[in-house]
Amino acid sequence: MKILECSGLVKMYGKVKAVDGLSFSVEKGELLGLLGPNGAGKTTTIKMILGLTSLSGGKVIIDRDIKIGYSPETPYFHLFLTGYEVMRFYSQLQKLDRRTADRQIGRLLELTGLSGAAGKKVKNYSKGMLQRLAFAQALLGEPELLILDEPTSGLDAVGRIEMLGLIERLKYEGKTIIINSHILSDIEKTADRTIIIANGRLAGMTGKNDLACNSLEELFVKAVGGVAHVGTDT
Amino acid sequence: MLALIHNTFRERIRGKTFYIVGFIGMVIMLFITTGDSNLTINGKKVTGFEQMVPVALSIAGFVSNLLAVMVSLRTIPDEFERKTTHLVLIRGIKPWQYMFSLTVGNILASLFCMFSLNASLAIFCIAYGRLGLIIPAFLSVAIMGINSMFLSAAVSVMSIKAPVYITGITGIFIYAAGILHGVLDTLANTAQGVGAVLARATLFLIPDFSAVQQQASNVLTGAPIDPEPILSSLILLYLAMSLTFVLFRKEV
Repeated sequence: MKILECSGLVKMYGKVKAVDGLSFSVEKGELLGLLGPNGAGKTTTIKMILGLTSLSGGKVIIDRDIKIGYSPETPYFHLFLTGYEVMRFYSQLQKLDRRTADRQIGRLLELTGLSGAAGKKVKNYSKGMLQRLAFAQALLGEPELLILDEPTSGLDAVGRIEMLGLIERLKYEGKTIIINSHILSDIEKTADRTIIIANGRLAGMTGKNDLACNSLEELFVKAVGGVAHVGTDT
Repeated sequence: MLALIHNTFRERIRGKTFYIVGFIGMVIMLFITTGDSNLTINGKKVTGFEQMVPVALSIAGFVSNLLAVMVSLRTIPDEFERKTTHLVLIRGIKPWQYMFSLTVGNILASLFCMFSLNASLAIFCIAYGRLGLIIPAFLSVAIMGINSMFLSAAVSVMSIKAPVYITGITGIFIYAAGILHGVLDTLANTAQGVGAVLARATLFLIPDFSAVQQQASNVLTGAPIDPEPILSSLILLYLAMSLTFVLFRKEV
């Protein structure tokens, strides 16, 4: 069952085409990877799906009742708030009642390993902690679709492993997830299917089975013409 | 929306600018209200209660109106720059609800700042044994708050679209035009041509801050109050606030 369908997405910034006729769909329970070099149009695509930017062309078909969670690439939270207060703030915006909010906040802070820092002000959080807090707030309200923009960006090796572990765990719980990343290994480890974007266009698409005979790196280089610079850190 | 308003208020009253300028204002107020100033009007030293109150109110009005501009200047641009807008808008908050809440948060922070500045006025009333003046003093400050509310709303609304420096300069211009409203009105009415029409139109959209301040002072001294400038300021405040329903940035 399709949970999201993007058809012929186009985004123009002045005369520059950031996204050029991109079409793809996401199945329920699937983990879709959006892979591409920096500036390929991945974040713009995500913003179009989230309704944060207008579409110059094409359409996004998504059930209006579907709850979406979003974790941005460079999360910013009000520095005077504690981790708990950040979660409480977003739960209020989502109109979660106090009891449900407290239950979810406790569970999510536990899940992301931030329970011990819940009372600490966000200004004292490390980059990794902020990324985990962004991840936690994205899960508030138990969204059916989770969109993660560069979830391992700026994390050290241990943080990366932990974050990918969390994503794997949610995948096995049946969440539909879209991961936007320029790091091949992250996508290779987690995604059921990968869409390769280059210059705003769909440059390739692979499934887990395709990766049995070809590495994602080979497919990626082939798709983008071997000129793109991508992160290959593990 | 209440969560957004509360959050904005909390963030604004934490600003360093707020504390520094607020502290300076309170020192000025205490200096005057304790009667140790060398302030003279028409060669006479200002020491009496009735003389000091309008002076104290004017100074408090001046500082808190500047604070209203400063407090409201960066709230909305910061939200767009930090992309906090993304995490708010994806939660079903409509752009108008967002802008309205941030503006209300700014207004509340500006009012808080004004009441903090005037706390010394209450102390002054107690020190002079004028306890009966506490409530009129509160009402007086509340009336003066209309000026701060308008400035805060106008600056907030402008900051949705305009760069910070243009918003700041325009905010100060609005304040100056509001204080000199009477003089500028006379000049505009005596002048002719397109410039005069434009000046009259601009002044029509700016409240008469000095007239509102005068009514605030009248509440305290028991002089008759003219409701017209207060009402017209409230109408202009309503108009400024209603712009939050239609203005938003194209790209967030």
